[in-house]
Amino acid sequence: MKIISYAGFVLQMISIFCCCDIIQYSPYEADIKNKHSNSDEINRIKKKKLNKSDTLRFAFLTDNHDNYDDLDKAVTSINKQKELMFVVCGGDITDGGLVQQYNWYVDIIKKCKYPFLTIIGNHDYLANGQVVFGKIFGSTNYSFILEDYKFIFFDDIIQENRFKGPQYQWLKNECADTVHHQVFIAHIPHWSGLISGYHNIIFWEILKPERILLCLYGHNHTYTEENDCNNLKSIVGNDIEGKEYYIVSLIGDNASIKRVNY
Amino acid sequence: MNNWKKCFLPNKYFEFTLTHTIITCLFLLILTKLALPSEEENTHSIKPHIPFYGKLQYAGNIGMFSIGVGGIFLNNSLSLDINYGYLPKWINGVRVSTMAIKGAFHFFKKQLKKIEVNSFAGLSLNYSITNNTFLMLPKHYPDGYYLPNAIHVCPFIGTGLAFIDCKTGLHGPGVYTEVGTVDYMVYYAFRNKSISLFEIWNLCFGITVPIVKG
Repeated sequence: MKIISYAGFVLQMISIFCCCDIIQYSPYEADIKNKHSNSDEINRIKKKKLNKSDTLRFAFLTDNHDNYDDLDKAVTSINKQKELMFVVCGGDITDGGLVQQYNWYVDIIKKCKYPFLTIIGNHDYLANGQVVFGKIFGSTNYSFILEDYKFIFFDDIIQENRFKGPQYQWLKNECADTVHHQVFIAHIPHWSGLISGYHNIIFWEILKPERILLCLYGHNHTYTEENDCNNLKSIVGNDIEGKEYYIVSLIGDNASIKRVNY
Repeated sequence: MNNWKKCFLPNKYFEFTLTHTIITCLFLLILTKLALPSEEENTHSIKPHIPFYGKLQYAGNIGMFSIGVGGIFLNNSLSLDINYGYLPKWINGVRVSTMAIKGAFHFFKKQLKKIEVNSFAGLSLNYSITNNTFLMLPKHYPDGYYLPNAIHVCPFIGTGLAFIDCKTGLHGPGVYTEVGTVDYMVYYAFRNKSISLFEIWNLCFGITVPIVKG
């Protein structure tokens, strides 16, 4: 019994000196360890110089859930890629929206040498995940323009957001831009059963192939290429457990996808 | 007001963290010194007992502060208590209410004059109410879409000391500290090499008071 008592004492000492969070009030609290603001990352992207003759390339991965080891490997592999402008994670970065799960995710993506943008997934909304996401990454809807392209990141979660509804007016305003080619990135594919009824109709009304070059999604955990009834080119990424991410290359009004296994 | 608030925000205010760490170290060193005495040291043979107690705890996965009542059974070797904890919104932006049933096995006890030192380990079953937590899956999700996320099992190990009336053998007030974790963190640490087993633990402190003398 003395050995167990010693072990308990040693554990307490370790928790004091080694643990990042010696005090935790609740697994559901929102005490973040580090910020990783999407707007700061966008500023980093804009500071990078893009050679006009070059293709605009970025990496896309999605749905790491509770698999931090494979996320770590993906980031290591992405760091070996050359001339990427940025990296996008397509949501479901946590399994239960808990602050420690977010903290572990941020610890890993901070190792990435490229600017790293994150969108929110349905799992990230669970518990107080929406509050935690806001504290770490900022707004769940955001966009930026880089050269001839406009990147639109959209929060399309409905049920987990208590049916408050995606910000369609914001999306409509962003998509009204006729000057730039648009890349639309969200977590749930707009043809999914979770986006049904009038939500589906609104998406089809807003997302027009004349302006949108490519849609990128996560959620389905399987790689698919789709052309919806609007003839809109869409890619759904495999989850991180599939050990692949994607390099998206944009040249003029063409978008191509390369699958990378690591 | 603001200064007082800052004192309870973890990992943001170095001075508080340092003071907190020093006090905890001293406290635990004293406990260890008492818990592991030399062979020659005299101990008393009175069997103390504390059939029912109230407790107040700071942190430890059941809120910023929690209150509870419980009892000790099976020849003072098993304690069982029920607790209510609350995390107010002004601490870090979310409000959480938690009910917890904690059971602990007291595996080591040493009585030294007027103080009894004991070590214990156990499990806490926590049910929390906050945003987007549920026991039964809401109807708008397909069957089995999510597991219930309002309940967690939290293992802990701790050390405590309590004052004892040598004449009657009754417990007086006591203090304790625990190091604990949450079920999913243990699972994640085993599933992911990138998550260390050392980083999943957290500390709490508490006091106990006897409420019914046996």
